Amino acid sequence: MKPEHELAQLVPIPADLVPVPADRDLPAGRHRQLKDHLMRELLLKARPAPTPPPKTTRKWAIAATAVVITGTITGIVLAGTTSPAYAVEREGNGALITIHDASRLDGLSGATAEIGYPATVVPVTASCQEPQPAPIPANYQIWVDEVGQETTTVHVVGAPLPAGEVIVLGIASTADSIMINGTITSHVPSCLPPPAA
Amino acid sequence: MRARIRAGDPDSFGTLFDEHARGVYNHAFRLTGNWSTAEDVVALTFLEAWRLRGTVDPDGGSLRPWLLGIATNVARNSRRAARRHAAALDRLPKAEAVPDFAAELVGRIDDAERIRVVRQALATLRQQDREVLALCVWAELDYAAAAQALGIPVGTVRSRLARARKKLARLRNPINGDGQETGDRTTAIRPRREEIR
Repeated sequence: MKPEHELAQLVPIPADLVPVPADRDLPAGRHRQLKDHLMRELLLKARPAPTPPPKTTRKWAIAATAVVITGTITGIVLAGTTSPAYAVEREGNGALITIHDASRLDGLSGATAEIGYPATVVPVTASCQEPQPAPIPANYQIWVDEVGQETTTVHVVGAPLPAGEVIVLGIASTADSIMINGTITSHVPSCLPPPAA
Repeated sequence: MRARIRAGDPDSFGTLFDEHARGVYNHAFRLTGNWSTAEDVVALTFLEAWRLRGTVDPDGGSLRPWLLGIATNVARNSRRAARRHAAALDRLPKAEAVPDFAAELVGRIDDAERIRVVRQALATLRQQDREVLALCVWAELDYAAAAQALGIPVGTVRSRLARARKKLARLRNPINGDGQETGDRTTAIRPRREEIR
């Protein structure tokens, strides 16, 4: 017996509303979107979690601005004072920046440039007159994860940045934490304002 | 395939998604009555599948029952699953606007109305009985596969399905308010049809 016929016998509803709807495909493009999302998540989950450095009493906050990407990145960084301060590596179609100590990122620009995702660091201050960063382009994604209490990872998905484009990480040294605000642009600001509420 | 899924091979999960996303999507719609929620259930189901990959039996046939079982649990405990995968859901791209194909749009609205009526009729059943009904009648799993999906004995599937049938049979009589006759007939009489849209 076909299932819909069986249901027609079982369910006391108007017969012209039986059978239940036939199967439908996911909306156009959504199958690919959901699959891409799944594959990215699996790559993240397959990675061993980095060992966090010992806790320290001083807390730093970091704000990230990616120069030519889309959307607003939000996250919190609390950094320690022991090495390694950070790690940079390629991750699938993108890059992964792992930050353990936001106070010692001097070599970050060179390390990220070597893998095609140049990043630079600027302070985040309330008095900064720079505009909020522009939206990240649609062909890039950036997000921030907290891994443990004092390690934060910045994920960049997309092709290596075009020449002249930079990812900016803004640091605020006085707050316990600050939201990370990001975009990608060829203009490297001298500072970043805190993200708009 | 099962061995690769157990081993956490991302490519095999990609294949699994391609093969079964549609089935999970439609099963989720029938359980939730909402196409958009069904998309979230699809995303959560495959994230949960990754988390639970070690539970896959090395031997056996299609993984469809396993996935439908996970989807059933996700639909039942969607808030718990959403909490577990909150970070991943935050990174899930928003669904793009569906192109305005009138027939597709009307069809989906019609689906939602049909499933609403069916679910209303089934609301009198216990949730566990309703889930067995959905797996055996709509998803066309046999008793053994439904048992595997829900992690319950085959005898329990039989008894839940029998209980559902018995209750629905009782509800079918007497008159249901749509002008249907009562009696011992085995199929519903089609009422005077009215335009439903």
